[in-house]
Amino acid sequence: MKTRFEGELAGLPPEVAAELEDHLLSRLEGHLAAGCDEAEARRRTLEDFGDLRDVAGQMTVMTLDPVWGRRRVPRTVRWLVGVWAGFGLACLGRLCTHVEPTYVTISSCLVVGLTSCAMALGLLRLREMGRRWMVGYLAGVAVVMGLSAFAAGQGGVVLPFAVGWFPVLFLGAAVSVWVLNLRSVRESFL
Amino acid sequence: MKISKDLVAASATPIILGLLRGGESYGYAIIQKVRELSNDEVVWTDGMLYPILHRLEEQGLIVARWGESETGRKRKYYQLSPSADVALREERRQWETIQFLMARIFEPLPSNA
Repeated sequence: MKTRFEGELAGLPPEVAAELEDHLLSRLEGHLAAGCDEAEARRRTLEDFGDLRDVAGQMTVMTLDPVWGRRRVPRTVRWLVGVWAGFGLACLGRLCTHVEPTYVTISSCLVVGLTSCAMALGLLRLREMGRRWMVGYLAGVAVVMGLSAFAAGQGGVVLPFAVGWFPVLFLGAAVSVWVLNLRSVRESFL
Repeated sequence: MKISKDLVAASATPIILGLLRGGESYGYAIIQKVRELSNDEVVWTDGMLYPILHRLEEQGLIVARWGESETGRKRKYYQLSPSADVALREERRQWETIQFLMARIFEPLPSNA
């Protein structure tokens, strides 16, 4: 019985999956007790529940509450989003202060910065889409960042930005986390 | 009898808070209780309950703990938080006001004698 809804719950955050699994199994037991066979009971259970992915998404992603309330996003995700957004802002900010930036510097800053910001926003959306999408997206961003660093010709162009702009990075991260806690990023950007 | 979505949405919070006055409960049991108390007139989609529970938890009106079901599954139990009393009284006051207003509006119209 434990694996009956594994497919439907795959990729969901563990706590959400556990809570919903308990509900689904309780409902399934009810249908079985009422005389349904396994397949029919399963079908009715999922029909009774509604859009499971949508429900799980509402439980994990911040959405706009009519009175500016916030839904809980796990602290780890919030900080990860904040750090990536801050890092992206730091890279973009570097453009403003670089003396006579070369074409390569400009392009790598833009690519890395915009990709980081997009990744920060994407994390929120991907979280409700499941772990496989998150891993794939992170891998893609890592490839883009690696290529941009390589294109700059020095391989370590990304790291000096992060180290040299530490205060900006954390300030950007703090602002991002604060902003994300107050606004519906999902409705605005995704 | 089908209840409109707006009315279901509006009444969900006071219903959940009111049911939890009776003690700790969990998602499936709450849905079953709603159905039972309404004589099957109010039937919630199973999934609609959980985002509401999580919102109420975020607002601090209910608290949750993980426990085990009778069969050993992980189960999340909810109960009213100590600070929920005020919110519950306010919800009750609002619904009693609406109920009073509706009763007066739907009083039989005077017949023209």
